[in-house]
Amino acid sequence: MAAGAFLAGAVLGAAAGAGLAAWACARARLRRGRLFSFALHEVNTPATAVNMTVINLLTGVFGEVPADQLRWLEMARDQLGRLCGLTGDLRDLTHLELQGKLRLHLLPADPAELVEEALSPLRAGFVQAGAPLEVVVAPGLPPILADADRLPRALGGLLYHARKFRASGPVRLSVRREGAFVACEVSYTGTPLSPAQARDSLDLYYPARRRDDHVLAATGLGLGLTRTLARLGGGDLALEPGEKGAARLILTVPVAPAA
Amino acid sequence: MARILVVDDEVDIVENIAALLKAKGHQVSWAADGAEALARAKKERPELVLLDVILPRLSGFDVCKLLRSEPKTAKVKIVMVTGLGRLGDVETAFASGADDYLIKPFDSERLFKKIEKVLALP
Repeated sequence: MAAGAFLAGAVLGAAAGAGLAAWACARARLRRGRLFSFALHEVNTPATAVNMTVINLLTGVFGEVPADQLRWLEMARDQLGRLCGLTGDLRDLTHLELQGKLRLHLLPADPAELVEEALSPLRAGFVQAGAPLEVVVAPGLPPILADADRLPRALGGLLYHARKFRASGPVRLSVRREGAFVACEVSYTGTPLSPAQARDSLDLYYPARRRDDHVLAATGLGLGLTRTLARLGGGDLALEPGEKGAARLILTVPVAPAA
Repeated sequence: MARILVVDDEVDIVENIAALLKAKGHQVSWAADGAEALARAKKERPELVLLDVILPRLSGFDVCKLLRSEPKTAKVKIVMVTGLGRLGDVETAFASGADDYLIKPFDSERLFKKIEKVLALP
């Protein structure tokens, strides 16, 4: 009888201990999440201020800028575009890692407009890098169901990726309808990739591999995060290696249901 | 062109937004915290308020609710500016009465588009 009571007490004690540990763990996780949220807010503010200052200078809001200095402002804008993209990626990764979820804000949107929004901060950077950029957007595309903040960022990230890892020739962006989706295809010629390497580079944790293990480095927080976001929105991201280093990154986004 | 109240405690952001909007012909005023935003909105009757979420004294969400509850400012167009630091910020913005939202970091093109869209709302 006494042994039974002792056993029951021990079980209850262990359960209470486990509950307490789980509570402490959840509390620590919540505090980590709040700290990261605060840190992201702190990064967002200067990123917004500097980005707007550079754009205002470039667009003549503060007066005329000497032509020989425009190049440097364009360079700053290009790098700020990357920084702002990274900030957004970091925010999304933080929510995914610490809270295990992310809320996309999916609304019908004009794909041509979102593509233009992705291209706008990038064009000058392609010119300065000597990388030809060829863009073909099929006319009459239907509205897509997309997060208007994240899609331009994702597409911009793919274009940066192609620009960085391109070995020769142009970077091409083709936007077209494919059944119930609109496909944004970024193609370029870089270092030859095996199908296994292409598959690995789409893993969310690919950029966390050991440095000397890198076959294909990643830009930003990597293609895996873009694929995760694409899938959350009902689409996908594929990386298809071709012959002689040809590569195609295909981001698909669902067509919006008819109103 | 519209009367726009920019509510943000970061003066560098406000100055850039103000310069940009003034260059487009808008009339711009500024409030650095939630309480000042409410006072200015009542006095100046802007057509649009660009309202940051994180503000001293009174949060942007609270300001938004109070603007909606005050007859003089109930119909003002409100765009909430958020860094999306917390999950659910966008949902909270709409629940507080915002017409739309803008995510930081943003650039001038996105800002213009958003302002045009919201000003065109009935």
